[in-house]
Amino acid sequence: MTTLDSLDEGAQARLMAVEGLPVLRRRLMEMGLLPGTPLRLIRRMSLGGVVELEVRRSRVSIGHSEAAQLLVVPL
Amino acid sequence: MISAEMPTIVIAGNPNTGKSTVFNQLTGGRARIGNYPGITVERSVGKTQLPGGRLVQVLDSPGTYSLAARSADEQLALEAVAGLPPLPTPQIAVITVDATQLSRNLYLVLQIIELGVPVIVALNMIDSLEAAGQEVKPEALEKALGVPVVPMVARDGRGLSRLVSAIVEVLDDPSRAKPGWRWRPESAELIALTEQVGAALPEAWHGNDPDRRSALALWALLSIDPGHDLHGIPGELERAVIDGRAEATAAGRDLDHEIIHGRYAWIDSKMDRVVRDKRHPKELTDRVDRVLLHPAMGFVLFLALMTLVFQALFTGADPIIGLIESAVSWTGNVVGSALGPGLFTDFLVNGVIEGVGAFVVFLPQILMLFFFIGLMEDTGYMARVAVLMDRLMKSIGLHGRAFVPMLSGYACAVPAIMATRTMERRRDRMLTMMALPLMTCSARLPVYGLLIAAIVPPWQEAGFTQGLLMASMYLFGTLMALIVAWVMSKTLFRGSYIPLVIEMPPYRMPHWPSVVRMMLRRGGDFMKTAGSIILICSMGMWVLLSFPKNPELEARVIEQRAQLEQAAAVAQSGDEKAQLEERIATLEAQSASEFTRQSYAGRLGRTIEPLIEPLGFDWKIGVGIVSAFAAREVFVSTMGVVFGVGEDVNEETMDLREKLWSDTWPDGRRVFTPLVCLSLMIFFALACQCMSTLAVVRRESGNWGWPAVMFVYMTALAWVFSFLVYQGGLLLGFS
Repeated sequence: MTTLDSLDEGAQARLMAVEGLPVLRRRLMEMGLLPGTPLRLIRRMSLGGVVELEVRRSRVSIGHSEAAQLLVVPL
Repeated sequence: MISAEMPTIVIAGNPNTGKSTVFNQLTGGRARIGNYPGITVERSVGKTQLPGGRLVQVLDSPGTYSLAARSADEQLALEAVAGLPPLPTPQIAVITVDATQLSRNLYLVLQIIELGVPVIVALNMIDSLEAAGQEVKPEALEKALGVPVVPMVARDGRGLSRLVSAIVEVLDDPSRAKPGWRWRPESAELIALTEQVGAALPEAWHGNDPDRRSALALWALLSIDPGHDLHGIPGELERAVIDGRAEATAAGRDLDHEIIHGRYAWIDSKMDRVVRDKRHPKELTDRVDRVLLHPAMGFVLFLALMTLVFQALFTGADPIIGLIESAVSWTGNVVGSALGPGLFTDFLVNGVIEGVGAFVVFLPQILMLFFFIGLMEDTGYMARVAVLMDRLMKSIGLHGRAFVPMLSGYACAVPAIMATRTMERRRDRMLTMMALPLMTCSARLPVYGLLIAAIVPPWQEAGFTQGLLMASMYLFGTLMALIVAWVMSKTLFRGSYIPLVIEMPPYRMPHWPSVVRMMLRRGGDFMKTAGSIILICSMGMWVLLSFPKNPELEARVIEQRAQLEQAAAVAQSGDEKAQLEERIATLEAQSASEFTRQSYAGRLGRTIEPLIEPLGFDWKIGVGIVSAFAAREVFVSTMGVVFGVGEDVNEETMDLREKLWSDTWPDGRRVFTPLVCLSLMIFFALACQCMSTLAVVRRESGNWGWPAVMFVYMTALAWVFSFLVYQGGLLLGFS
């Protein structure tokens, strides 16, 4: 198990847990980032401070600090 | 404004799903824009006549991913969709859905179906499915949801007529849009908890409908936290939710997960039948993003694009602005000579026509900026801007998307403030709006030019001094804007933490008609709402500068002028004639100066002299500051009038520079010393001397509270910094 922000570009993983403040957890889960969901890391932009993922057929970018709250198992 | 009797159709949907496009097409763009009661969030209501003659009102609601709310602003989505008092209960909720992001959009659809509101799904952007590498079957979706699904490409009107007939059918027979099922929690514990919380809900919310009560209880469980920012939540309900959540947590349960996962499990179970993936998804988008989001190249290209936009705003709009200005003065001259001199003519020319000119002049920059923004939004590039700039902007508390408005602030705060609409959250919009007018706008340039010229004696070669001073003023304005944004983000706009989640839509070709339409709508919007305020302020400034009348002075000037004209008429040589004409001009300039001194504005300048004296300013500067409220550059022409040089001056006029140079206090000290000029530049950098900015903030924020805050904080900041510069400079021995 690792955090989402440490995945390589293009790596696929399964989301295992969403940590952090209740507000953050709820918002991320409502956007479809639920435990058990498969996802793919599209791109990490260290300069912009975000990572882009593909989840449930859509692309979203989330901040590095948010990504560090998502525990994943690489597939 | 909202009728209680007329059937109501509410438009809901995730952000950027074409909600306002559908709204505008249903209402033919004839919407009344107001605010939701109690909160300053824009609300659009429009009326439309359906085929068959039925009149309905269409209500827009804020775009959101979920009805669950963290603030009073976000709560509006629930109130509008569920029709909580005082809003009317909608007969239909039309939900715009991005066909390429179906799962996430359906989460909101499910919540609205739970409430028991008849739903029509406007399945929008079906033309982007190909690029997204997906295929969606509308019939399968219709069957799964049990409500009408209308495939659409809203921006070119495809599917609109089918949407209208679906609305008519549902109004005739609401059961068509009410599926027999709704998502319900399955576990006995959660059902018991929703009943417990449901019992604490106000009856006016659910009208004793058990299903609606359970849906609202789920909403409360996902929205109410200790220390929430919601409004109108009864204490009983708050306690029921907080106690219920505490019990669940103690029992090792995760309520958020149970509810949200329950809904997504339902969605996931249907998706296989509705969506099919094709082989090469998002290939084009990936290739483009490899360049545009490249760590180095992405930034370079973005900055190059911004330079282009900025250059266009700064210089490209100039000729058109010049044309508008000459058209205004031409109209003024024609009207003036047709009507002959008099108070009414003066009012028409200098109050009304100049006032109209004062806001029409903003149009070229507004249209240009919104053309670029429209392009960036329509192609999907705006989401990338937010991603590229997020870290930088977040470090001062701003949203990534605030970069474009902030940069536009260098040209003019008015279009820049309108551009803050590209941000969804009110907190981000207001914060950007409040800090933005500190950016050095182009109206400050002539003022700086005049004052820098006054620092350097007219007869002296200055080398780099002038350029350095100008550059320092730009840097100062920018730094102050960033510092103010940072301070405000930590104080006034602290609010609750909201995580950054940015949708990344696939790239697509811009749809030119909709880009142009949105640009024109923004322009028209500005003319209608901010324009009228600017016109009224202009007329107010005219009154201040034209009254009280002084018949004695006027009679004397007319008499002297007549004498000089007579003499000029019989003058023998051309030389003599030219000399007399020059004397007429001098007479006019001096009488204008004298008149301005005794006008209300002049008196105001004198009244505030004790207030501005610690900054090094005399009453003449006071008059300039008062009149510069119309627009900063007016300071230069007012100085021309006050010093009797005439109105047609600019910062290059030698006469004016020499007058400033020789202006003295009663005790013989020079007024415009370098230190005073510096103090005055600092004042202009920070003070809110722009009625148009305040008018636009009023329009964008929905009330006069925010413009008042802006005026007070900027003026206070200006006074304090000018005071520090001037008094500090004196202490250090400068003059």
